[in-house]
Amino acid sequence: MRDVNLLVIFTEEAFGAKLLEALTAGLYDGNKNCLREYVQNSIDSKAKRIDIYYENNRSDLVIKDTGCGMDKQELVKALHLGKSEKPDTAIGWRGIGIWSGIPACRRIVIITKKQNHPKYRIEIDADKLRDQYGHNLLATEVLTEITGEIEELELGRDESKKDSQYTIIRLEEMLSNQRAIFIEKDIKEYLERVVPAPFDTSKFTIGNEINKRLIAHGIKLVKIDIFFENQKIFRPPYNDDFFFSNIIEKTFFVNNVIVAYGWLLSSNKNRILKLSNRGVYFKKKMMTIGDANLVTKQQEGNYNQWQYGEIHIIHDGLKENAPRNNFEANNDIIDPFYKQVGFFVRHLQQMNQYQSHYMVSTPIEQIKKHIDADEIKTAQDKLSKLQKKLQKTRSFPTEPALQGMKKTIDKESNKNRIEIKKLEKAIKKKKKRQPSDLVKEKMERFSDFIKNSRPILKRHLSKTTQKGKLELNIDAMAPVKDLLQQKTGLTENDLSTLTRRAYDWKDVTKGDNGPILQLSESYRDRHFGAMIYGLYNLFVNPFKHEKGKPIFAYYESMTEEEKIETLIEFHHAQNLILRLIEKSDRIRNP
Amino acid sequence: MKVLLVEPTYYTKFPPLGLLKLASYHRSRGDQVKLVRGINEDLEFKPDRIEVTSLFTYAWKPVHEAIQFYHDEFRHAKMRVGGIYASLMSERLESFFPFIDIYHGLFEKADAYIPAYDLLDDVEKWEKWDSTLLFTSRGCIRNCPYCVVPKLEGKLRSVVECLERYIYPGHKRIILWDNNFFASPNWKNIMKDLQDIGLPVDFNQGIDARLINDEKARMIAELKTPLIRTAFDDLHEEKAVTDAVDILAQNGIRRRKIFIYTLYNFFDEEHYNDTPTNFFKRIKLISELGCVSYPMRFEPLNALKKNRFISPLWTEQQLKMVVKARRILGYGGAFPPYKGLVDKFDRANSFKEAFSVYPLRAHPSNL
Repeated sequence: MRDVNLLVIFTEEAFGAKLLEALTAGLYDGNKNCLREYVQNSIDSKAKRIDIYYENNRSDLVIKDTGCGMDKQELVKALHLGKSEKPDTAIGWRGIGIWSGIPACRRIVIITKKQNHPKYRIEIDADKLRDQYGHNLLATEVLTEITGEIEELELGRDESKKDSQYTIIRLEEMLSNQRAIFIEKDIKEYLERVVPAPFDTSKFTIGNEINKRLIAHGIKLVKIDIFFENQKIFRPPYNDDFFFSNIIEKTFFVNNVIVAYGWLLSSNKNRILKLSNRGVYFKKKMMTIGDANLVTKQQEGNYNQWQYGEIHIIHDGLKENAPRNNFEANNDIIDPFYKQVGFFVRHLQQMNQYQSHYMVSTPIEQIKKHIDADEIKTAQDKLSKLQKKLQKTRSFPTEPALQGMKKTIDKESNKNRIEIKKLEKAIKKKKKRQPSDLVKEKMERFSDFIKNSRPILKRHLSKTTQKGKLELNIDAMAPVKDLLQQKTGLTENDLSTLTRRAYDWKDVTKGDNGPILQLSESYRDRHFGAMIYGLYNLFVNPFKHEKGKPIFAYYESMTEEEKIETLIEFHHAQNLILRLIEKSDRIRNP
Repeated sequence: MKVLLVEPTYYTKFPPLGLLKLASYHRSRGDQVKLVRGINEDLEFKPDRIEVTSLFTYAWKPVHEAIQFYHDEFRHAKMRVGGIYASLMSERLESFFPFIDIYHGLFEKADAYIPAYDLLDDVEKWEKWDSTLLFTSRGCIRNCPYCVVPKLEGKLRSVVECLERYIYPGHKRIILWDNNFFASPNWKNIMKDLQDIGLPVDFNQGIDARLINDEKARMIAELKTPLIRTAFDDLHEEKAVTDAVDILAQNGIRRRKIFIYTLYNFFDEEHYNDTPTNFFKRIKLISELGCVSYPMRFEPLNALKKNRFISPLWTEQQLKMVVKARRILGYGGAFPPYKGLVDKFDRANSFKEAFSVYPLRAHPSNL
């Protein structure tokens, strides 16, 4: 027996107000998590529908459910900290949730109505709570102080004492530093990712089949409609189009007992899935635990995010921690489970590498484009490279759950090989053809244009056309640069600096030292300077290695005739610029 | 519960702040709210409760119209009427409408709520409203006989500690409705907050000239203020007003930005020094100071019609002269320090000379 005289007895005197801060702010990493707590409470109260919306120009956030509501005693109990009388089937069990909105707002208001009971309201003064953290008060004193009286509210005509039931949580006067956290887009994404929303099976039809399989594995789908700002929330993914239709299924066992069931879909393109459609998440009672990293970090290597999936925890022994960003570490299941997850992710990555190697529809598309644009040499080069790559072999992971995917990928790869043969033929055919008369005609026009150009431009153009180049290249603005250097006396080589100093523009606002050249006595000169640089930046690619990148794509994708036409137009614009630079007066030395 | 908030269609430059706070109060109780101005014939909102506000007593008519209309429309709904007219003349209101509840004075429970300005988007007159209306204090330290504030709000007390949370997101201007801002014990903190926030500020109810000193003037000058309002209601305050204007001017506030309300037509048994001559002297002094004067005609507390009360020390003729002078000589009802006008007031030796619109040449349209 323990000696009573030696025991340390804890009474309420032992709990100071600072503890409350730790409970309400410290435990919840990221304040949006209070939404999860409230949604969870609503689900536990058997709500069929939850509405989350702003009021008062987003200064208040309201979470309203159609759950069973609370009578007076239940409301008081709901405010108790760290005590929960919820049954095992409930999602929440720590008894802190109702307080989780404290760090976000000035007041939490709870309005609740249970069938055959009046409507009650209570207010928690979060501001006052924050004030009192610093004082040396008892937790119970402070809690009593900041919690208002239970108020009984009048019912509206569309409510009945007998039937109406609901709970409304209002986070009133969100703190100004919290408004950036609770913005519409972020709340929507958060809800989609975390709460047990259904699939939008009108666009994601595979969802129907997934639901069946989840049920078959004993996972209870939560039947609830969650609306945010009147928009129904669906959980990802959102579209069939990004995925192969194979559902990858993986069951995780520890000591021969099923711990979790996972399903995954794999990208049908060799690229990272868009944010809302990617990630593999742990789910428990349909609520997300942790983020996508929690799954993938269980293996140490890279993982290239070509899958979307959910791993549903079935085993009761795997309990989530309070912030719900991981599972409690103190049990025998978690380590072997995580090990398996890591192993599985490694195999996923190997599968992705296999797919990346054998599925080559993207380069095939590119080569097609080159052929269409008569860029036969480029097409030929790329094709040879691709064929060389395909001759090498890569192995597929041994994981049984993934073998179905191997068939799918191989089938795609075979289609690709047929395409490649077609491309070879197309290239051969094109090689025989002569350049059209149209191109010749345009080239003549180009030569005429060169003849009539300003000397400074002519010198430059005859140089480049002699080499037979029909490209806008790094030198295309050289005449403008030359003229600017002559006029200003500057020795800069960078056109951006040159125009900025010549015409004193800096993001088209005034620069520091004033202009060197003056076209008119107006601030518009700065616009002119910026225009020169704009033309340069629009058409002339200063980095050779960036060729083919989007900014240049519109030029590269043109036909030969169009290219000549565009060159003429470009040099016309250049002529205008040269004329205006000539007209400019030098008003100071650099 | 559904709550309809009704602003009657009286003339006003400001949206119904009390109703907007009441809206937030109701929302905080889970109620749905809807704001209307005046009669709205095709309202789909079916209220359980109707809250009607009122303003000055002489603007009672639209209040009565609104009460009658919404009572007929929604017979089952409980109706409550508050605001200045309802508080001051509740018996009269009750005799017309025995079925309403009347709320007297300030509804303290709703006062601390941030007004639900978003409701203004649904009201055509207010949809472009972009200013935060604010009392940082209530009541006044003075007890001026012609003023309703001490009777309605009592002694001065500060009601806002930290300004920032009251500034509505997206608003471009702050309008302070403090009755006597610089008499508030908290004025310095609020001024600092105003500086930090950086929005233009209007001390809408005017500042007390007797309280202006160098420090305050400097702080005012550092704010963005479209104009500075003060008052010159009694000739005894001549020195206070002159000093205040000088101090403000020394701190860089342009004199023509100073707008001085000038009471006239006031009378009660104990105060009878407001005569046309007295009024003329005040207007002339303001003109000499280079400031704008804005005559304010006294209305008794319970006036049911505007501009009916005539002080025994004024004649109807004289009151009309002021009206006419404001219209013809002034601008927007005020007398700005235009050179011609300053000269006219300067040359004038009497009320009559000052406010007669002749010998200025008559405008052709008046012939």
